[in-house]
Amino acid sequence: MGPHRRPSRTNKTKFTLADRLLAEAVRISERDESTVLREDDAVKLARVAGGSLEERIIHRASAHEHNSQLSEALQHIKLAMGWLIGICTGLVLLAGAGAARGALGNDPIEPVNFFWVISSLLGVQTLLLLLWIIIMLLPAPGGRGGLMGMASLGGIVLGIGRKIGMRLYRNSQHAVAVEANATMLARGDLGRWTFSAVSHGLWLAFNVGCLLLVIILLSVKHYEFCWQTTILNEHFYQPITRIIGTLPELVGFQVPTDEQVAASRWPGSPTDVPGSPSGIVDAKDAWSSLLVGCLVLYGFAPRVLLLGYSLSRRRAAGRRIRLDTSLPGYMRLEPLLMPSQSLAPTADSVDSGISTIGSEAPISPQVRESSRPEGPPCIFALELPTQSPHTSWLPCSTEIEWRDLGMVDGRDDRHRVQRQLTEGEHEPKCVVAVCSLTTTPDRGIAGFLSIVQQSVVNPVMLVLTDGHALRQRSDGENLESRLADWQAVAAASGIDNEHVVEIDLDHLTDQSIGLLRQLAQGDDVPAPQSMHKLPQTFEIIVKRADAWWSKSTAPTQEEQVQLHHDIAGLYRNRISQWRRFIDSPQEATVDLSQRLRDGAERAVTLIPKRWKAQPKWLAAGATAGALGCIAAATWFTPAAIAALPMWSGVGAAVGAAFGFKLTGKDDTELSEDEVQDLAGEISAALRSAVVFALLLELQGRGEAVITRVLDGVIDPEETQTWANSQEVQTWLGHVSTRFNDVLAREVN
Amino acid sequence: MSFPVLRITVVGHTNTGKTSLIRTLTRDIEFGEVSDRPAVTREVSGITLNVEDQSAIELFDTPGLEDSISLLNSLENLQGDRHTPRVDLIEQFLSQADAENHFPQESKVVRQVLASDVVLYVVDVRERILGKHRDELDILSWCAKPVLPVLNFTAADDAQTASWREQLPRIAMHAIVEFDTVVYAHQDELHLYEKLRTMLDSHRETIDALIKLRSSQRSQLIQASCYEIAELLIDSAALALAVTMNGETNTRQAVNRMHNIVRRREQNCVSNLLQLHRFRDDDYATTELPIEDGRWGLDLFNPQAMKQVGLHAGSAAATGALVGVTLDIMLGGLSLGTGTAAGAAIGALWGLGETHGKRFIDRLRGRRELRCNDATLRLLELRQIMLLKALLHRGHASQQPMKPDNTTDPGSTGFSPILRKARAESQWSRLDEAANQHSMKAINDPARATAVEQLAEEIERKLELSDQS
Repeated sequence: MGPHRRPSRTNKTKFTLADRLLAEAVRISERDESTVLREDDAVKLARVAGGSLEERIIHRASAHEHNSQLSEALQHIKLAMGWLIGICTGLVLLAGAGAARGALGNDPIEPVNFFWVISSLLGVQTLLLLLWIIIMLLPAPGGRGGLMGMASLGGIVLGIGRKIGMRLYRNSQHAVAVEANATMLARGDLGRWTFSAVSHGLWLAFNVGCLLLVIILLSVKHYEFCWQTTILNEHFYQPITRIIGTLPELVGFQVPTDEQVAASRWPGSPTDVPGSPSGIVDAKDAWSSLLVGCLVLYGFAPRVLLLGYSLSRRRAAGRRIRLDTSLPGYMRLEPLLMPSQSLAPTADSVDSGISTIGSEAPISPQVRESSRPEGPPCIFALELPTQSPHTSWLPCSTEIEWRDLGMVDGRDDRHRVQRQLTEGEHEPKCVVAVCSLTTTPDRGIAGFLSIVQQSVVNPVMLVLTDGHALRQRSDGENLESRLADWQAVAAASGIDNEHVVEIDLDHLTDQSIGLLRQLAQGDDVPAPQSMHKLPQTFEIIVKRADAWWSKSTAPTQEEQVQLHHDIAGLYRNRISQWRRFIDSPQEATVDLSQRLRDGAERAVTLIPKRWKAQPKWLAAGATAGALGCIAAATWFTPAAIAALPMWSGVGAAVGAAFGFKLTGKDDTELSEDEVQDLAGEISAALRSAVVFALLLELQGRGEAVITRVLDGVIDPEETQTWANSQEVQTWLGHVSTRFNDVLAREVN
Repeated sequence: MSFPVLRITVVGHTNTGKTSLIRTLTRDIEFGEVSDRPAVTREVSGITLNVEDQSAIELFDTPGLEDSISLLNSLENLQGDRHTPRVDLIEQFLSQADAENHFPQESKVVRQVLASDVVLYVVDVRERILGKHRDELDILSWCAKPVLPVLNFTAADDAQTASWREQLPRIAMHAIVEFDTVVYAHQDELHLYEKLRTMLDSHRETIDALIKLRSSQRSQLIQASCYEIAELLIDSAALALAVTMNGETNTRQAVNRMHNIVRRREQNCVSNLLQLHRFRDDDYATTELPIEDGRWGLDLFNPQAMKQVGLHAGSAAATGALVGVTLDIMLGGLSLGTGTAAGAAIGALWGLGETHGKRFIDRLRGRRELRCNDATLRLLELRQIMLLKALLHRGHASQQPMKPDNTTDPGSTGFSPILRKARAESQWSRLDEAANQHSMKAINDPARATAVEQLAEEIERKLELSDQS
């Protein structure tokens, strides 16, 4: 123990068990209160102290704000355990004395049966000692006190102590302290040796009590020793006496000789005792000497040795024990306690203001005269992220007579385009650069565009495609900021803001083709004209809603398709472009469900972020997209309306793909909680129709614009369901007003 | 143990995820600034990666290379003698005023590259390989440092990984790694270090130590998370509230109280999981977790919550009922009359007086017990497993909300027998604050500790299983 304390080899042993117990207690209390970790003084102190994660955890715990309460509680528990062990020691001491007294008997006349005394005082404890040895030889069960905790006297005492402790202190700190102790005992060998030490200590007390009383009784009272038997004789007891006497004899205790053993057989009646038949008077000295010797050597001595051994092993285990830093409570401390340090750049950097796009003064377009005759508009694609090897990237090659300068991917292409623009025999009517919104604009692109701008006389237009692809990657806000970045690039290269247009080349509509054509003519981009069909559309919707409510039936899928079909009818002259707008670019796709799903998905990417958060409006968007596909198809090929049942079957699949139901009525698998009331059903159908109408009205505009207008027109949290067609009418009135307002703002 | 420090510089075109890569590698969500816009990082900045309390790797983030085409032009104009090493030319270029004036951003990057041991070249594989990429790689080759291309966004729908893998070797880039900074895959991270190890023999030890550290951290993280979930489940399964049998309002109040207790406990678990996985409280708006503001958007007792984790109404019906509580399920097949007397006697005999005995005594007094029903426990489990899965496969740079994965049922292996057992051990729950004694017992019950451990292992197995499918 004390003197054997080895000098600490590494600085890792500088913490004591008590420090770790405190850390454990802090962890448990933080777990129970689910404390939010923050960078407080304790954390800073631990960071300054440095070392491994465990060391820092201990440092933090010792500076923790609950530190004093928890240490106090730990101290209390320790004290209570000490008291308990003390009291138990006293009790066991008395028990030992009692056992000795009981074994030696109270009858002065009756001789004492030596072997009975020995086995009653030493038998049980020797058996338990053997059991202890067996347990210690077994492999330690998975890191906890295990068998030892349950089977040993120490385990039982400590268990009782815990129960008493819980009754005594009922506040949370003490509960935490008790658990901290328990988890530490369960780690490594500490528990085993603690339980062992307490067990051996208590047995030691028992033996001391026993021994003391035996000596006192032997000193002050007269005992005669004998042995008794019913079926054995002295030839059995003589060797036994020799065997158990070997050790005591070595130490110097007297052991009865074979003759004395033979003579000590119980004579049969107590009255015969005083005049011992064989006359060997000093046999009782030998017997009592052997009794004391046995108690010392078989009871007292092993317990003293094992107590010392257990204590030293416990001490070693206590020194070896480490916190289990893989516990959640500790792991979450790691980023806080062991932050990575930020570094200055290795290379000495000259601090110069970095020029970003737009920070340079914009190049003002120079008005130049060209000696060349004006030729067809030029078009090139700048760093398009995807390139289909089969289809030409060139848009509207049939409608517009382009001079195709091809794809510009690298340095050589840039030089080529520059040459083609300046050295051709015609001055291009205008130059259209097609870029992808998924590309992040950079200074390289800005530089090239300004070179292009400077090499021609007529304006350079920037067409931004792939809006749909960018939307699919993220939400609408992203598109807005990306558009702004591109506008900054254009401005930096001297391209007018009116000459930057968003046209999704994968979803060209008649209107966007018209736009492109105007661009190719070098005209300014006109604001798209509204169809002003909303009032008529809303009339149809209200009429239909009225019919549903008066019939008191929920809309069927077929009726919903019919409603969308009717709405689409108002925009009949534009229905083919709606198809292109909403449908997948490959019109040959025959997989109907795939087409519906694409339509739904496309409409969903168009609706504002706020809507997507509301399941009802998300559903409305997707439904409008899917049913819009059907409606367009039915106008395109009227025969398709005959195939409606099949369409509606597919509709359910679309709904399932988006995690909502398209209609409720035909769906028999709905559980009760999902069945909405009639108003809910009708409102759902109306929402989708309204979204469809708005999309039709807005088609042809930039997608960012569509999203912005939708966001301004309908607040998804404001309206959910309507109870009758009057309410719908009022609401639609608001929608119309807001639509006109928002659109007017967009145009300005 | 001491290692030579390995200096890594991360370069790439603008907005390819350089800062994100460093965030993910260092697990430091506060490093730099991440946004889907060009030139967010303006200065070179570095951060250490520690192994055993000492820095093993220094990672440097650089501004994006924006105008590599012109830079390469300028560099090539310098080229005079064919035999002059190109590194010298680069240094000559950097000393010129031209470098600072025309390529301030690029020259910072190149300076940092020259001062490092290896270069990670990050590309966004959603783009084609373009001239700018070739020129950037060309400039890097002038710096005479080993370059390892890192393919980012490989998990995106429109990723063109195959084409990059085919094209890069053509410009003499043979070692390539895929590392998606948004959808984190542990294997990819190890793979990246392994590739670096083959390229940098002198830093083999450093990288080995780092690989070892990362692997053990990963398994510890999974274990700790499963342990958290197991604690939640045991606490909830064992929770029993006694209610007096007379009076509808009493029962309703008790149900509400029960709901609140379980809700709070779930929230506690969610916060702990998030902290374990190093997510800030204010970070949710930009995460792709199925939760908002650190909590599940859908209330635990909302029927829709079942759908969110892919439990269908059908299977919910099979497991009993909808989420909520169930009244007094533990009768052991005994009726009230025989139960009370016999139960108390048996309980006392078997030393169970504190648990079963108490329950029967409660019954005698006209009280009943409320507990979480099977569906609730299953929902609690699935929700947490779903969250954990999302956390495990998430880089520290993701910015978009996650779509809950409706198709897979991560807990297809069914209801755990350990939870059934926990049902019968009301002293295992730490949740009943009214009976403080109970929670103290829960803390110190070794059988509970064993059950938690077993359950945690079971959850880990389920997690692995759902990962494979």
